[in-house]
Amino acid sequence: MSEHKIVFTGTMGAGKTTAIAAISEIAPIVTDVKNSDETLHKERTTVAFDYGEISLENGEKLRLYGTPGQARFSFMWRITGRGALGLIVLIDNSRPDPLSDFGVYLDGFAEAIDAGIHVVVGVGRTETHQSPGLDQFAEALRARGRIAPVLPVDVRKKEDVLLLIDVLLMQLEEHL
Amino acid sequence: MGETMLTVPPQDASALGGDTIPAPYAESSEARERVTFGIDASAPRSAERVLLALIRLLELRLRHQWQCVATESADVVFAPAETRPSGASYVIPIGSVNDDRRTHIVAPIHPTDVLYHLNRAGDVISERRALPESTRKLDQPINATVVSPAAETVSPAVLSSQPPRMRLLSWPAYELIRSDPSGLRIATLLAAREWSADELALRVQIPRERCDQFLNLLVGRGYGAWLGQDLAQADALDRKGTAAPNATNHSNAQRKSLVAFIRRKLQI
Repeated sequence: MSEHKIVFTGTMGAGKTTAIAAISEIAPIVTDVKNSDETLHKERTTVAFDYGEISLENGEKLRLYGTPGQARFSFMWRITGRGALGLIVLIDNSRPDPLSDFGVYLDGFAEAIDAGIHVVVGVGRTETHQSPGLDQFAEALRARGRIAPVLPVDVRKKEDVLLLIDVLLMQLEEHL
Repeated sequence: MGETMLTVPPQDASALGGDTIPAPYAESSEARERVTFGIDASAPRSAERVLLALIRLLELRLRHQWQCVATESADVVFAPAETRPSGASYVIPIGSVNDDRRTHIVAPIHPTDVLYHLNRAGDVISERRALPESTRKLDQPINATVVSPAAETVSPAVLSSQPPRMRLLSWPAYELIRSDPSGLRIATLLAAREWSADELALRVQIPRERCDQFLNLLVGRGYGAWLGQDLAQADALDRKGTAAPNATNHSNAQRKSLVAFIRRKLQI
Protein backbone atom coordinates (compact mmCIF):
# COMPACT_ATOMS: atom_id res chain seq x y z
CA MET A 1 0.00 0.00 0.00
CA SER A 2 1.44 3.40 -0.96
CA GLU A 3 1.95 6.18 1.45
CA HIS A 4 0.03 9.38 0.84
CA LYS A 5 1.26 12.29 2.87
CA ILE A 6 0.99 16.01 3.26
CA VAL A 7 3.84 17.77 5.00
CA PHE A 8 3.46 20.78 7.24
CA THR A 9 6.62 22.76 7.75
CA GLY A 10 7.53 26.17 9.04
CA THR A 11 8.94 28.07 11.92
CA MET A 12 8.76 27.11 15.55
CA GLY A 13 5.52 28.33 16.94
CA ALA A 14 3.86 28.73 13.55
CA GLY A 15 1.30 26.10 14.47
CA LYS A 16 2.24 22.93 12.62
CA THR A 17 1.20 20.73 15.51
CA THR A 18 -2.03 22.68 15.93
CA ALA A 19 -2.82 22.46 12.23
CA ILE A 20 -2.36 18.70 12.19
CA ALA A 21 -4.45 18.32 15.33
CA ALA A 22 -7.23 20.33 13.67
CA ILE A 23 -7.82 17.73 10.96
CA SER A 24 -6.25 14.48 12.14
CA GLU A 25 -8.71 11.84 13.21
CA ILE A 26 -6.25 10.38 15.66
CA ALA A 27 -4.67 12.27 18.48
CA PRO A 28 -1.47 13.57 16.89
CA ILE A 29 1.69 11.77 17.82
CA VAL A 30 4.16 14.41 18.86
CA THR A 31 7.84 14.26 19.59
CA ASP A 32 8.19 17.32 21.75
CA VAL A 33 10.92 18.26 24.14
CA LYS A 34 11.31 21.19 26.44
CA ASN A 35 12.12 24.23 24.34
CA SER A 36 15.63 25.56 24.91
CA ASP A 37 15.21 28.61 22.69
CA GLU A 38 14.54 31.40 25.13
CA THR A 39 13.58 33.81 22.39
CA LEU A 40 10.51 31.73 21.72
CA HIS A 41 7.67 31.93 24.19
CA LYS A 42 6.88 28.29 23.88
CA GLU A 43 7.34 25.60 26.47
CA ARG A 44 7.85 22.62 24.22
CA THR A 45 8.92 22.15 20.63
CA THR A 46 8.99 19.33 18.07
CA VAL A 47 12.31 17.56 17.51
CA ALA A 48 11.47 14.71 15.12
CA PHE A 49 8.05 15.15 13.64
CA ASP A 50 4.38 15.36 14.45
CA TYR A 51 2.14 12.80 12.95
CA GLY A 52 -1.56 12.62 12.32
CA GLU A 53 -3.66 10.65 9.91
CA ILE A 54 -6.95 10.53 8.13
CA SER A 55 -8.56 7.25 7.03
CA LEU A 56 -9.89 7.19 3.51
CA GLU A 57 -12.83 5.21 2.23
CA ASN A 58 -10.64 2.83 0.24
CA GLY A 59 -8.86 1.77 3.40
CA GLU A 60 -5.76 3.85 2.75
CA LYS A 61 -4.58 6.62 5.00
CA LEU A 62 -3.56 10.18 4.37
CA ARG A 63 -0.64 10.84 6.66
CA LEU A 64 0.04 14.30 7.99
CA TYR A 65 3.59 15.06 8.96
CA GLY A 66 4.77 18.13 10.79
CA THR A 67 8.48 18.75 10.55
CA PRO A 68 10.57 20.14 13.37
CA GLY A 69 10.82 23.89 12.93
CA GLN A 70 14.45 24.45 13.74
CA ALA A 71 16.91 24.49 10.86
CA ARG A 72 19.27 22.13 12.70
CA PHE A 73 16.72 19.42 12.00
CA SER A 74 16.66 20.17 8.29
CA PHE A 75 17.77 16.64 7.44
CA MET A 76 14.28 15.62 8.58
CA TRP A 77 12.74 18.04 6.09
CA ARG A 78 14.30 16.28 3.14
CA ILE A 79 13.21 12.89 4.40
CA THR A 80 9.61 13.87 5.02
CA GLY A 81 9.35 15.89 1.81
CA ARG A 82 10.12 12.97 -0.48
CA GLY A 83 7.05 11.60 -2.20
CA ALA A 84 4.66 14.01 -0.50
CA LEU A 85 1.44 15.06 -2.20
CA GLY A 86 2.03 18.58 -1.07
CA LEU A 87 3.84 20.93 1.23
CA ILE A 88 2.20 23.48 3.49
CA VAL A 89 4.61 26.11 4.76
CA LEU A 90 3.45 27.91 7.88
CA ILE A 91 5.12 31.17 8.76
CA ASP A 92 4.78 33.10 12.01
CA ASN A 93 4.68 36.75 11.01
CA SER A 94 5.40 37.89 14.54
CA ARG A 95 8.95 36.59 14.39
CA PRO A 96 11.81 39.02 13.80
CA ASP A 97 12.44 38.19 10.14
CA PRO A 98 9.64 36.10 8.63
CA LEU A 99 10.90 36.49 5.07
CA SER A 100 14.27 35.12 6.05
CA ASP A 101 12.50 32.25 7.84
CA PHE A 102 10.57 31.57 4.66
CA GLY A 103 13.78 31.41 2.66
CA VAL A 104 15.16 28.81 5.04
CA TYR A 105 12.23 26.48 4.35
CA LEU A 106 12.31 27.07 0.62
CA ASP A 107 15.99 26.12 0.70
CA GLY A 108 15.37 23.18 2.99
CA PHE A 109 12.70 21.75 0.70
CA ALA A 110 14.41 22.77 -2.53
CA GLU A 111 14.76 19.15 -3.61
CA ALA A 112 11.03 18.47 -3.28
CA ILE A 113 10.09 21.88 -4.71
CA ASP A 114 12.31 21.36 -7.74
CA ALA A 115 10.67 17.96 -8.21
CA GLY A 116 7.35 19.79 -8.55
CA ILE A 117 5.73 19.28 -5.17
CA HIS A 118 2.72 21.53 -4.73
CA VAL A 119 3.20 24.26 -2.18
CA VAL A 120 0.81 26.42 -0.21
CA VAL A 121 2.02 29.11 2.16
CA GLY A 122 0.03 30.07 5.25
CA VAL A 123 1.13 33.17 7.09
CA GLY A 124 -0.04 33.47 10.66
CA ARG A 125 -0.49 36.40 13.03
CA THR A 126 -0.96 38.82 10.14
CA GLU A 127 -3.64 40.69 12.04
CA THR A 128 -1.19 41.81 14.68
CA HIS A 129 1.91 41.81 12.49
CA GLN A 130 1.11 43.14 9.04
CA SER A 131 4.66 43.43 7.81
CA PRO A 132 5.95 41.75 5.77
CA GLY A 133 2.84 41.64 3.63
CA LEU A 134 1.64 38.49 1.93
CA ASP A 135 2.82 39.97 -1.36
CA GLN A 136 6.38 39.87 -0.17
CA PHE A 137 6.16 36.14 0.42
CA ALA A 138 4.70 35.75 -3.05
CA GLU A 139 7.54 37.83 -4.43
CA ALA A 140 10.10 35.66 -2.61
CA LEU A 141 8.58 32.63 -4.28
CA ARG A 142 8.52 34.33 -7.63
CA ALA A 143 12.18 35.20 -7.27
CA ARG A 144 12.81 31.46 -7.06
CA GLY A 145 10.74 30.78 -10.14
CA ARG A 146 7.71 29.50 -8.29
CA ILE A 147 4.15 30.74 -8.00
CA ALA A 148 2.15 29.32 -5.14
CA PRO A 149 -0.84 30.42 -3.11
CA VAL A 150 -0.02 32.60 -0.11
CA LEU A 151 -2.83 32.99 2.41
CA PRO A 152 -3.32 34.46 5.83
CA VAL A 153 -4.10 31.70 8.28
CA ASP A 154 -5.10 31.11 11.86
CA VAL A 155 -4.35 27.46 12.44
CA ARG A 156 -6.51 27.42 15.55
CA LYS A 157 -9.45 27.61 13.17
CA LYS A 158 -10.18 24.32 11.50
CA GLU A 159 -11.71 26.05 8.49
CA ASP A 160 -8.43 27.87 7.85
CA VAL A 161 -6.51 24.61 7.89
CA LEU A 162 -9.07 23.02 5.60
CA LEU A 163 -8.72 25.95 3.22
CA LEU A 164 -4.99 25.30 2.98
CA ILE A 165 -5.69 21.65 2.16
CA ASP A 166 -8.41 22.61 -0.30
CA VAL A 167 -6.08 24.96 -2.17
CA LEU A 168 -3.38 22.30 -2.20
CA LEU A 169 -5.77 19.72 -3.63
CA MET A 170 -6.98 22.17 -6.25
CA GLN A 171 -3.45 22.47 -7.55
CA LEU A 172 -2.95 18.75 -7.45
CA GLU A 173 -6.16 18.16 -9.42
CA GLU A 174 -4.97 20.37 -12.23
CA HIS A 175 -2.04 18.10 -12.91
CA LEU A 176 -4.06 14.91 -13.16
CA MET B 1 26.10 60.44 -14.70
CA GLY B 2 27.79 59.24 -11.51
CA GLU B 3 27.17 56.03 -9.64
CA THR B 4 25.40 57.71 -6.75
CA MET B 5 22.48 55.66 -5.46
CA LEU B 6 19.26 57.40 -4.52
CA THR B 7 18.33 56.22 -1.08
CA VAL B 8 14.82 56.10 0.31
CA PRO B 9 14.36 56.32 4.07
CA PRO B 10 13.98 52.78 5.42
CA GLN B 11 10.53 53.37 6.87
CA ASP B 12 9.29 54.17 3.40
CA ALA B 13 10.93 51.31 1.61
CA SER B 14 9.63 48.26 3.41
CA ALA B 15 6.50 47.74 1.37
CA LEU B 16 8.29 47.31 -1.88
CA GLY B 17 11.12 45.26 -0.52
CA GLY B 18 14.07 47.53 -1.11
CA ASP B 19 15.55 50.85 -0.12
CA THR B 20 17.72 51.77 -3.04
CA ILE B 21 17.27 52.80 -6.61
CA PRO B 22 19.45 50.80 -8.99
CA ALA B 23 22.33 52.34 -10.86
CA PRO B 24 21.58 53.68 -14.33
CA TYR B 25 21.38 51.22 -17.17
CA ALA B 26 24.40 51.20 -19.39
CA GLU B 27 22.26 51.43 -22.50
CA SER B 28 21.12 54.74 -23.78
CA SER B 29 17.43 55.56 -23.63
CA GLU B 30 17.02 54.61 -27.25
CA ALA B 31 18.37 51.10 -26.66
CA ARG B 32 15.50 50.22 -24.33
CA GLU B 33 11.97 49.42 -25.40
CA ARG B 34 9.73 52.45 -25.55
CA VAL B 35 6.55 52.46 -23.51
CA THR B 36 4.18 55.39 -23.21
CA PHE B 37 2.33 56.64 -20.18
CA GLY B 38 -0.30 59.21 -19.43
CA ILE B 39 -1.80 60.71 -16.31
CA ASP B 40 -5.56 60.88 -16.17
CA ALA B 41 -6.99 64.39 -16.03
CA SER B 42 -8.83 63.57 -12.82
CA ALA B 43 -5.60 62.78 -10.96
CA PRO B 44 -4.61 65.30 -8.29
CA ARG B 45 -2.27 67.95 -9.66
CA SER B 46 0.22 67.28 -6.89
CA ALA B 47 0.41 63.59 -7.81
CA GLU B 48 0.83 64.48 -11.47
CA ARG B 49 3.70 66.84 -10.75
CA VAL B 50 5.49 64.35 -8.50
CA LEU B 51 5.02 61.50 -10.96
CA LEU B 52 6.33 63.52 -13.89
CA ALA B 53 9.31 64.69 -11.89
CA LEU B 54 10.16 61.24 -10.60
CA ILE B 55 9.83 59.56 -13.96
CA ARG B 56 12.18 62.14 -15.42
CA LEU B 57 14.65 61.61 -12.59
CA LEU B 58 14.47 57.86 -12.89
CA GLU B 59 14.65 57.88 -16.66
CA LEU B 60 17.89 55.97 -17.01
CA ARG B 61 17.17 53.65 -14.12
CA LEU B 62 13.97 52.16 -15.49
CA ARG B 63 13.98 49.00 -17.57
CA HIS B 64 12.06 50.71 -20.37
CA GLN B 65 12.15 54.07 -22.01
CA TRP B 66 9.08 55.94 -20.80
CA GLN B 67 7.47 58.73 -22.76
CA CYS B 68 4.56 60.87 -21.62
CA VAL B 69 1.69 61.06 -24.12
CA ALA B 70 -2.03 61.81 -24.05
CA THR B 71 -3.87 59.23 -21.96
CA GLU B 72 -6.00 58.17 -24.95
CA SER B 73 -2.96 56.75 -26.71
CA ALA B 74 -0.88 55.71 -23.70
CA ASP B 75 0.15 52.13 -22.97
CA VAL B 76 -0.05 52.82 -19.25
CA VAL B 77 -2.26 55.32 -17.48
CA PHE B 78 -1.98 56.60 -13.92
CA ALA B 79 -5.51 57.28 -12.70
CA PRO B 80 -7.32 57.70 -9.39
CA ALA B 81 -8.46 54.29 -8.19
CA GLU B 82 -12.13 55.26 -8.41
CA THR B 83 -11.99 56.41 -12.04
CA ARG B 84 -12.34 54.28 -15.13
CA PRO B 85 -10.21 55.60 -17.94
CA SER B 86 -11.23 54.07 -21.20
CA GLY B 87 -8.89 52.65 -23.77
CA ALA B 88 -5.81 52.20 -21.60
CA SER B 89 -4.33 48.74 -21.70
CA TYR B 90 -2.76 49.02 -18.25
CA VAL B 91 -3.83 51.28 -15.41
CA ILE B 92 -1.79 52.08 -12.33
CA PRO B 93 -4.30 53.24 -9.73
CA ILE B 94 -3.52 56.25 -7.57
CA GLY B 95 -4.87 55.25 -4.21
CA SER B 96 -5.28 56.63 -0.74
CA VAL B 97 -2.86 56.29 2.11
CA ASN B 98 -4.35 53.00 3.29
CA ASP B 99 -4.03 51.27 -0.05
CA ASP B 100 -1.37 48.67 -0.73
CA ARG B 101 1.70 50.25 -2.30
CA ARG B 102 2.17 47.14 -4.40
CA THR B 103 -1.08 47.72 -6.20
CA HIS B 104 -1.49 51.49 -5.95
CA ILE B 105 0.59 54.62 -6.16
CA VAL B 106 0.13 56.14 -2.74
CA ALA B 107 1.05 59.57 -1.40
CA PRO B 108 3.71 60.39 -0.44
CA ILE B 109 4.99 58.99 -3.69
CA HIS B 110 8.48 57.57 -3.46
CA PRO B 111 10.96 56.72 -6.18
CA THR B 112 10.96 53.01 -5.29
CA ASP B 113 7.19 52.90 -5.80
CA VAL B 114 7.41 54.51 -9.22
CA LEU B 115 10.29 52.26 -10.21
CA TYR B 116 8.41 49.17 -9.07
CA HIS B 117 5.14 50.00 -10.84
CA LEU B 118 6.69 51.19 -14.09
CA ASN B 119 9.06 48.25 -14.40
CA ARG B 120 6.18 45.88 -13.76
CA ALA B 121 3.89 47.64 -16.21
CA GLY B 122 6.65 47.82 -18.79
CA ASP B 123 7.26 44.08 -18.52
CA VAL B 124 3.58 43.34 -19.07
CA ILE B 125 3.39 45.66 -22.06
CA SER B 126 6.54 44.09 -23.51
CA GLU B 127 5.20 40.60 -23.05
CA ARG B 128 1.93 41.58 -24.66
CA ARG B 129 3.74 43.10 -27.64
CA ALA B 130 5.60 39.83 -28.09
CA LEU B 131 2.34 38.01 -28.65
CA PRO B 132 1.07 37.32 -32.15
CA GLU B 133 -0.68 40.31 -33.71
CA SER B 134 -4.11 38.71 -33.67
CA THR B 135 -3.89 37.94 -29.99
CA ARG B 136 -2.61 41.38 -29.13
CA LYS B 137 -5.50 43.17 -30.75
CA LEU B 138 -8.00 41.08 -28.92
CA ASP B 139 -6.16 41.72 -25.73
CA GLN B 140 -6.37 45.51 -25.81
CA PRO B 141 -9.23 46.55 -23.57
CA ILE B 142 -7.61 45.66 -20.29
CA ASN B 143 -7.98 48.06 -17.47
CA ALA B 144 -6.84 47.49 -13.94
CA THR B 145 -9.36 49.74 -12.30
CA VAL B 146 -12.37 48.79 -14.33
CA VAL B 147 -14.77 46.36 -12.80
CA SER B 148 -16.98 47.11 -15.67
CA PRO B 149 -20.01 45.87 -17.47
CA ALA B 150 -19.09 42.97 -19.68
CA ALA B 151 -19.71 45.12 -22.73
CA GLU B 152 -16.50 47.02 -22.03
CA THR B 153 -14.46 43.88 -22.10
CA VAL B 154 -13.95 42.05 -25.35
CA SER B 155 -13.12 38.54 -24.31
CA PRO B 156 -10.16 37.17 -26.23
CA ALA B 157 -11.39 33.61 -26.25
CA VAL B 158 -14.74 34.48 -27.75
CA LEU B 159 -13.14 36.01 -30.79
CA SER B 160 -10.37 33.55 -31.44
CA SER B 161 -10.44 30.00 -32.63
CA GLN B 162 -7.39 29.33 -30.50
CA PRO B 163 -8.13 31.28 -27.38
CA PRO B 164 -5.23 32.86 -25.58
CA ARG B 165 -4.48 31.49 -22.18
CA MET B 166 -3.83 33.41 -19.03
CA ARG B 167 -0.58 32.91 -17.20
CA LEU B 168 -0.14 34.01 -13.63
CA LEU B 169 3.06 36.05 -13.31
CA SER B 170 3.00 36.17 -9.54
CA TRP B 171 0.56 35.35 -6.77
CA PRO B 172 -1.86 38.31 -6.57
CA ALA B 173 -2.27 40.70 -3.67
CA TYR B 174 -4.68 39.29 -1.15
CA GLU B 175 -6.96 42.33 -1.39
CA LEU B 176 -7.36 41.61 -5.08
CA ILE B 177 -8.13 37.94 -4.44
CA ARG B 178 -10.75 38.92 -1.91
CA SER B 179 -12.37 41.34 -4.33
CA ASP B 180 -14.22 38.41 -5.91
CA PRO B 181 -15.67 35.42 -4.07
CA SER B 182 -14.09 33.16 -6.68
CA GLY B 183 -10.80 35.04 -6.67
CA LEU B 184 -8.93 32.50 -4.58
CA ARG B 185 -10.12 29.63 -6.69
CA ILE B 186 -9.25 31.35 -9.95
CA ALA B 187 -5.82 32.39 -8.72
CA THR B 188 -5.10 28.90 -7.40
CA LEU B 189 -6.04 27.30 -10.70
CA LEU B 190 -3.88 29.79 -12.55
CA ALA B 191 -1.00 29.05 -10.21
CA ALA B 192 -1.17 25.45 -11.37
CA ARG B 193 -1.24 26.10 -15.12
CA GLU B 194 -2.40 28.43 -17.87
CA TRP B 195 -6.12 28.63 -18.66
CA SER B 196 -8.32 30.26 -21.22
CA ALA B 197 -11.11 32.47 -19.88
CA ASP B 198 -13.74 30.01 -21.08
CA GLU B 199 -12.09 27.07 -19.37
CA LEU B 200 -11.74 28.97 -16.14
CA ALA B 201 -15.31 30.20 -16.10
CA LEU B 202 -16.49 26.65 -16.68
CA ARG B 203 -14.16 25.17 -14.07
CA VAL B 204 -15.05 27.69 -11.39
CA GLN B 205 -18.69 27.71 -12.47
CA ILE B 206 -19.11 31.44 -12.71
CA PRO B 207 -20.45 33.59 -15.54
CA ARG B 208 -17.91 34.31 -18.21
CA GLU B 209 -18.30 38.06 -17.72
CA ARG B 210 -17.37 37.83 -14.08
CA CYS B 211 -14.39 35.68 -14.88
CA ASP B 212 -13.28 38.24 -17.46
CA GLN B 213 -13.51 41.02 -14.92
CA PHE B 214 -11.24 39.24 -12.51
CA LEU B 215 -8.78 38.22 -15.20
CA ASN B 216 -8.65 41.78 -16.45
CA LEU B 217 -7.83 42.95 -12.96
CA LEU B 218 -5.00 40.43 -12.79
CA VAL B 219 -3.57 41.60 -16.09
CA GLY B 220 -4.10 45.26 -15.32
CA ARG B 221 -2.23 44.99 -12.07
CA GLY B 222 0.59 43.01 -13.57
CA TYR B 223 -0.21 39.67 -11.95
CA GLY B 224 -1.18 37.90 -15.14
CA ALA B 225 -0.62 37.99 -18.88
CA TRP B 226 -2.37 36.53 -21.88
CA LEU B 227 -0.38 34.08 -23.89
CA GLY B 228 -1.05 32.93 -27.41
CA GLN B 229 -1.88 29.26 -27.62
CA ASP B 230 1.44 28.39 -29.24
CA LEU B 231 3.47 30.34 -26.71
CA ALA B 232 1.57 28.86 -23.82
CA GLN B 233 2.27 25.35 -24.99
CA ALA B 234 5.93 26.02 -25.59
CA ASP B 235 6.44 27.83 -22.35
CA ALA B 236 4.63 25.23 -20.33
CA LEU B 237 7.53 22.91 -20.97
CA ASP B 238 9.93 25.21 -19.20
CA ARG B 239 7.87 26.59 -16.44
CA LYS B 240 8.56 25.50 -12.90
CA GLY B 241 5.43 25.03 -10.89
CA THR B 242 3.65 23.27 -13.68
CA ALA B 243 5.82 20.21 -13.52
CA ALA B 244 4.24 16.95 -12.62
CA PRO B 245 4.09 16.22 -8.91
CA ASN B 246 6.58 13.88 -7.31
CA ALA B 247 6.73 10.56 -9.00
CA THR B 248 4.67 7.86 -7.37
CA ASN B 249 3.39 4.51 -8.48
CA HIS B 250 -0.08 5.88 -8.84
CA SER B 251 -1.62 6.61 -12.17
CA ASN B 252 -3.53 9.81 -12.68
CA ALA B 253 -6.78 7.95 -12.27
CA GLN B 254 -5.71 6.61 -8.93
CA ARG B 255 -4.63 10.06 -7.85
CA LYS B 256 -7.96 11.49 -8.89
CA SER B 257 -9.66 8.95 -6.71
CA LEU B 258 -7.29 9.74 -3.89
CA VAL B 259 -8.05 13.45 -4.09
CA ALA B 260 -11.76 12.70 -4.22
CA PHE B 261 -11.46 10.49 -1.14
CA ILE B 262 -9.61 13.21 0.75
CA ARG B 263 -12.17 15.80 -0.25
CA ARG B 264 -15.06 13.64 0.84
CA LYS B 265 -13.42 12.78 4.11
CA LEU B 266 -12.62 16.38 4.96
CA GLN B 267 -15.84 17.65 3.38
CA ILE B 268 -14.05 20.21 1.24
